[in-house]
Amino acid sequence: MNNSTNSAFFDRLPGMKAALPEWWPIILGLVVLYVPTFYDLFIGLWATEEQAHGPILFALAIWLIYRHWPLMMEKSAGEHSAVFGWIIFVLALLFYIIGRALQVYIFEVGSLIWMLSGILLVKRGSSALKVVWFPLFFMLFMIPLPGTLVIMLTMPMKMAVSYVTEHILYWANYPVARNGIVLQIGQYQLLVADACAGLQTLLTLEALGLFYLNVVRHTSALRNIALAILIIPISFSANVIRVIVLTLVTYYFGDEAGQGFMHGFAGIVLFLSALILILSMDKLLRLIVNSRSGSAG
Amino acid sequence: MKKPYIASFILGLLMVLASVLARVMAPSVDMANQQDRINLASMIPGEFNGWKIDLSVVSPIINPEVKSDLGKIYTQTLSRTYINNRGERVMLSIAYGGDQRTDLQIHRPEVCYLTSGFEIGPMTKIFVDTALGRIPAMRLVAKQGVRIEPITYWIRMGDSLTRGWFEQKAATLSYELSGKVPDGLLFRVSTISNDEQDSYRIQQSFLTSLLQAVRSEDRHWLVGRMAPSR
Repeated sequence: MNNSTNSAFFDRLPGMKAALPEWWPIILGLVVLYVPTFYDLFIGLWATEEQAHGPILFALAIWLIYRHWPLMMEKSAGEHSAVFGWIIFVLALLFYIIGRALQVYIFEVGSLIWMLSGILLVKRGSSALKVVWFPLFFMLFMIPLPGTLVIMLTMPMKMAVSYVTEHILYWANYPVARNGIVLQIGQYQLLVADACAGLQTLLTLEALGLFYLNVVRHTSALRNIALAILIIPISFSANVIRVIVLTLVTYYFGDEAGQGFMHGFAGIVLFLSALILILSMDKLLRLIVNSRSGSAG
Repeated sequence: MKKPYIASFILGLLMVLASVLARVMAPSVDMANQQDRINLASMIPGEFNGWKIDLSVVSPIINPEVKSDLGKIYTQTLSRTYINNRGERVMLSIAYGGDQRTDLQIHRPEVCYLTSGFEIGPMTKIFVDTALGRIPAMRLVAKQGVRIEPITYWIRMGDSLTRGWFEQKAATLSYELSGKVPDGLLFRVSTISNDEQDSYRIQQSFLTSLLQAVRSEDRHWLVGRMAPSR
């Protein structure tokens, strides 16, 4: 596996060299614009625990573009440049300037998507964009959301997680009560924290799910779309499972065990339960799709 | 030169120009870089006009996780409970933050209380009449179980006093557009009581006495330089 990607990389080197005279000004421009941006992200926001998925999604996006590049060049050979690419490009520059000067990440990082689209439209025409739409779309997930929006979305999600957790534990005969986002179990009081809302989990899982679907390339559109949509309730359930486990650990082993568990093991529980749920959904969908095509044929 | 080469060259040139322009337009941070000149603990007197620090209360319980988060956002915080000779208690909380862009921005109490598990009642914009002038402020009531906490607060952004998300954002943006990065300060008083009107009366008399007790050259830290007119 490793060998084949390496040799593929070296096979592509001569082609890259040949393209350099035409592409170097663009590469230089992108480096000048975005190295400072991503440097700031790496030492700032992406270094925090809540945003740790940022660099991973960034690396995957770059890999996706690298992977789609040869096909894009092939499909767009001899194509005329699209004039509206210039308009998108100039808009991207404006977004960048505003975002960079006023530190608005959604403009600054978001401008990269417009910038690349504009450049490709100018250089290779609209058929190029049709090939690389997915990597560009995927980049949306790595834009850090504005804090106000996160707070607005997080609060109702925390309420929902607390509500469901309370009802499940109550139904299982535990001495549990809830006041807003504060859960009371036995003598312990737990505040459902921002991380438990699972907004970042949801976005990360959705991004990784779409990435998986794109790389595997299922032929059934039904299965792709269904799985992409199902990731939303799956991520919610995974978060409820995490909060329930956390609550029960606190109930049986005390506050300290709960806090220790929260920072060590809870994330693993979350991703394991999400993974198991996604894989079983995938399996179920495959059975449904197969039986449908079976009856048709 | 061939056409594709020209296009590449123009694209690259425009990108370099945009990067220069963004750097030129970025506001300078001089206004925000003065945290070493503020010392909240010594600025706010421990005793004034019948009020003194209530030592029987160890500052309002903050859980350690919240505390470490506060350290990331604010450069200085002060949290005290005062008591007067009638036995009325007021909790005072002041938070100072340097650079008010993006994530370092002062958090409004309606958000902080909400994320700490409180319910937030309706908010009203008011003016607090003090001997120094009318101060624009926000009032709200936070509830958690049996604890009912009427709150009065304002947020200073640079030299303007703001209430609520919109005013805070508008003040920051207008500073940035004029090439400055404002600093910010949250000033909050609250009382635990289910008598709202009485709470606000106590808070107002506390505020008036406190602002008068702070040395006049320090007052701008709390209410800004464009001192509200009488």
